[in-house]
This record gives sequence, C-alpha cells and structure tokens, in this order.
Amino acid sequence: MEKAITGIMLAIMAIGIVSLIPSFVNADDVSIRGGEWVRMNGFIQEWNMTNGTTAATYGWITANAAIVNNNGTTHEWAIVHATWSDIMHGIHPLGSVNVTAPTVIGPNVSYTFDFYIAKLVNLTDLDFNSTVTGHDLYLVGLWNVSEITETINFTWSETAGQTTITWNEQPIAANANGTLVADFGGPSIVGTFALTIDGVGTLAGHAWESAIWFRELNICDFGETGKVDITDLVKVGRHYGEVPGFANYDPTLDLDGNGRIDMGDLTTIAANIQG
Amino acid sequence: MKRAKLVEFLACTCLILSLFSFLPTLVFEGIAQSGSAVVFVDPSNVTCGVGNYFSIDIAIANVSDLYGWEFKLGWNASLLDESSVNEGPFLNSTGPTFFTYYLNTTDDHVVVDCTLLGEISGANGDGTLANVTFYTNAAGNTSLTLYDVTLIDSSEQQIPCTSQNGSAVIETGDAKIYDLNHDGKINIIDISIVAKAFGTSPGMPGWNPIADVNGDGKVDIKDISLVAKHFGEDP
Repeated sequence: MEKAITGIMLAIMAIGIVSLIPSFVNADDVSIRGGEWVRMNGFIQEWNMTNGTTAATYGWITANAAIVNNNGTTHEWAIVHATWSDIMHGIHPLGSVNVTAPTVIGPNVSYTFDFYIAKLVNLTDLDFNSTVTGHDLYLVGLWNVSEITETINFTWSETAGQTTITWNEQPIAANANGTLVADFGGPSIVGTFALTIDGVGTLAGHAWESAIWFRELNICDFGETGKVDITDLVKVGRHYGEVPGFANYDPTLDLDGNGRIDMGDLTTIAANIQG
Repeated sequence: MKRAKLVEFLACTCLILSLFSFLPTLVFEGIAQSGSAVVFVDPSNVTCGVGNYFSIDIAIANVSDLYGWEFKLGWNASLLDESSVNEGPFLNSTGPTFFTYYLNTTDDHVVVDCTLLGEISGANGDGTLANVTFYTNAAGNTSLTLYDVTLIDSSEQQIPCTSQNGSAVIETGDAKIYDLNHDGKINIIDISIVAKAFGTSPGMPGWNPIADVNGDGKVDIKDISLVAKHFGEDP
C-alpha cells in the first residue's frame, strides 16, 4: 500500500516537474527535428571602434533567426537590427526618462538625439550551438548601417500639445560584412553577444533574453504564446509613434528595423494574425 | 505507522498541489461567466431574399476601458458570400485606430482585429465594433457564429466577456421583381433596362433605381446576372 501511494506521489511530482520544463533544451541535429528558432534581445554596452578606441554605449540589439528542416531541405532566415549611441543624453542616451510629453501647458521643449542603426540585409551563414564556431548563435551576413539625427519637439497651442519628430538618416555603410556571435549561458544566466561590422567596429553587451526554441517562433508573437493575435497588435498599438529617446520605446516592437514603431510594424502583425 | 501517515500526508499534498494547477482555468471561467461585457450580432435574426445584400453589426455592450478587440465570425459559405467588413465607430470615437481583417475562404470565417493607438485610455459603454455585409447566394438557414472573441484593455489585460451568435434566413426570391417593365415576362427587354443603366449609381446620368435589382446602390454585372438567371420565366 505504501509503495502504491509512493508511486502515485512520484508520478504526480514527475508530471508537475515535466510541465515546468521550458522549451530551452540543448540543440541537436536540426534534421531530426522540424527546426530550431533563436530569439535574442540584448543591451549594447560597449563599442570598440575601428580606430581602436572603446566607448561606453547605450542601445539595443534584437535578433530572431531560424534553421528549418522543410521536407529534407534546410532553410535559414534571420532578422536582426541594432540601435545604439555613444553620446550621453541625460541619464541614458536613448531611453531617456526626460523625454515624455508634458501633461500641462508649458514652454515648448526640444530634444536631439544622435544614434546609429544597423540592420541585417543579407544572411550568408547561420549556425546554432555549434562545436565548430563554439557559439550558441553564429550569424554572418551583409549589413546596412546609418547614423540618425533625430529631434523630438513638444509644442503647445492654446489648448493642446503636439509632438513632431524630425528624422535625418545618413548612410555610413552599405552591404558591409558583419558577424554576430552570442553565448546564451542557460536559464537564469545572462548571455553575451558581439556584433562586428566592417568599417563600424564591434558592439558588445548582455542579453536579457536568449534561447533556442524547438517550435516555430513568430517574430510578431511577443508573448511567445504560439500564435499572433490581438494581444500582439495592442502591444504595438500602445507604443505607436514612439522612437528612440522616448522613455517607453521598446526596440523589440520595431519589427521592420527602421527605428520607429509605425504603420509598417502594425501591418506586419496584421499579416501574421492566424486566420 | 508513522511512516505510513507521512507518506499519506505527502501524497495528499501532491494531489492538492496538482489540483492547484487547474485553478487558474477555473477562476478565469468563473470571471467570464459573471463578466458584464457582451459582444453580439445585431440584429440577431435577419431574413433576406436570394441575390441580395444584407448587413449586420458586431456590437458590444457594457464594456470598460476597451483598447483592442478581436473576433471570428463564421457562416455557411454555400448560402452567403462575405462582401465587405468595415470598422464601426466605437473605438475610433475615442482615438485613432488600426483596423484589419482576414477572410479565411477555406474555413468560411473572417478574423477581425482593431486596436487604439498610443498611450490613451480605452472606450467605455456600448457601441458598434464592426459592420459585415453579405451577399446571399442560395436559400436556407445559417448561423452567424461569433467565436474566439478577445477584448483587451489599456493595461494589455484581457477583459472577460461573453458572445451571442446571430442567424440568417435566406428565402427564395420572388421572380416578379425581375420583370422590370411589368409585362408578365422576364425577357431581353428587362435585361436591356439593366444594360442601359449599367455602371451607374445614384446621382449619375442614366441612373435607374429599377435597374438596381439587388439594391446595392449600383447597377453592375450582378444585376444583369440576377435577371438573366430568371430569363424566360413568366412570373
């Protein structure tokens, strides 16, 4: 009787433990599985420039990538973009706590930010958890990099405030070779990454989210619920119109990597809502 | 004996813990049943002849702080064709919105989504979320089934709600309405009346409301095909 009760108890405990195991497991041969998906979001904290100087940096990198086995044929894709600045604006250069619209009528306010945006435009090599490269994520491709000068103006009429944003984009590299490597560390261990682009240097920092998944991970599925729906659309809607500099700017919602939460991001989600 | 009691105690603890894993579902269902927001088809029952258009609203009642919504609406595709889906005024009377829909032709339903934009509060009270227009293909009865309804507030939390379906009765059309000149025959003269007004809508030269057989506000190939379908009949 005791053995039976103990067996039941252990079975219940085992079921409970299994239900807590996340999708984070060690990578294996992708051909055995349907595919592997990686999502990494990190803070850029350091910029080793090509002239040999190192600057303290504030910014973000978001990377989504997959190696999918489609009926015996392996397909690779990746969407990666980074936003960063080495110029301090107040407490943080881009996620400034000062840049929020005034709630009462007041003097006009203007903020100017200088930062960079890098975007992967062509993927040439991708590998996960490779013993060859020694990294959890190894991604090689061509990158476009631009310098952005952005001004956010808050102006007031007699009754209402208005926010206008001017955006000046200056390309500094086109189709430049670049490599992103990342080591995820594991659950509760902060990951690290380094993005090196010809003519730009190396951007390095820590990831607040980094994992290999063994089920399809849609870039629009922010909650990682397995489907894209109104909850994802609302999340972008709440941040609509925001740019780097706004206190609540969330780079993970910038799906098209243009540095702004705009109509392109909303329509991307709309196109991915499951029918 | 003591050991046996300890084992029993641990077993009971495990059972209680495993029951707790079901608790969130039970609690959520309890809220949903007592929640006050209702999404419904308005009017709930529609009667319409074959070859015509009819519209329904997807309405909401008694909601607070509605920031975004999603619903699916299903029907019998052998009787109805979805013609258009338009946003209702409820959310966009509060602020700017983004509205989108996807028609799933393989599964006879439409998925409709709408969200407010920016850091503003949601809409309160009653109103119309969307308007859906159908074209009736054949006689019969069909349910207009609302499902997977999701309401989200400005804190990105789900609002409990219930939904109420509608229905449509599609009746066989009276052939008399296709005898446009009332001569007791549906023939080339009736078709020529439609052809003469072809491509017009109210206010345009040549507009003839009689030629707008299906009453959709324009004279087009659908009107000609409706008369042609009854060609030769003596109504």
